[in-house]
Amino acid sequence: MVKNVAQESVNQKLQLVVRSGKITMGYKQTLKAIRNGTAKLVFISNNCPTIRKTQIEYYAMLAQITIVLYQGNNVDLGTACGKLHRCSSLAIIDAGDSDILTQQ
Amino acid sequence: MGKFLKPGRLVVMLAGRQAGKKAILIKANEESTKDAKFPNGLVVGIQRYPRKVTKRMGQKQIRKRTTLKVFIKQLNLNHIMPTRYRLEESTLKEVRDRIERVKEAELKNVEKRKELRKNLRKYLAEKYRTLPAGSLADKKAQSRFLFSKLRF
Repeated sequence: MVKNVAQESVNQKLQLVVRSGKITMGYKQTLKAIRNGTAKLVFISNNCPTIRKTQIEYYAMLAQITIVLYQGNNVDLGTACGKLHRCSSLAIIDAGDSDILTQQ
Repeated sequence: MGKFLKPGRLVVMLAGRQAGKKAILIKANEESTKDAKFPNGLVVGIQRYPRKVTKRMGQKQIRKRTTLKVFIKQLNLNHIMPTRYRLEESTLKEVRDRIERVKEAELKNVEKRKELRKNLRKYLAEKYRTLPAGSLADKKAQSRFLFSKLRF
């Protein structure tokens, strides 16, 4: 039960960030953002291929960014952002009005 | 939130002829430059690793087996895998100095490049021969990562 509640709040926060802040979706762009130093938080879906997942985790470890292992697959993550496509990794560049960065 | 693609970072090449070889990141341009319209970087890498050496070998043989071949390449940052290892300051400074002595325009010149490669090759081989013993966790011996072949 606790997990479900947390999941919903994550979704809401993500929606707020998409609306008010800046996000990059997609594997290539998240890596670019992490490399640049512009990414502040990274989400990875649970069905992201393991190599890709560990690669993003390694990059984030080097850049000292937190990673959120999203409790849902890439379809869910895409939907949570209000998009009609799948997304297995996304990076938050600017959180806008959301408190997603401070809370997590 | 930290930029980690700084000079001195040891990286592994992911694509191209030198895929799987380890390299030192010398310069990283996140924004595109004039002749490279993508985030690019300059790396100095090891094309041919030094061979294994045993106690029974004589000095001459050891010297032969610890030579290495070096490549200089400007490439897309997408084709690099950064690692958590870094080259020590002193070695990095030397390598950068030698590269900076050759001006950017001259780097395209094949002869100059060859000279630079020879230069770096000698320097890195010496560094390899005088590497302090120690595990990779030891800050001073992190360049040990650079000289060991990635087996795959």
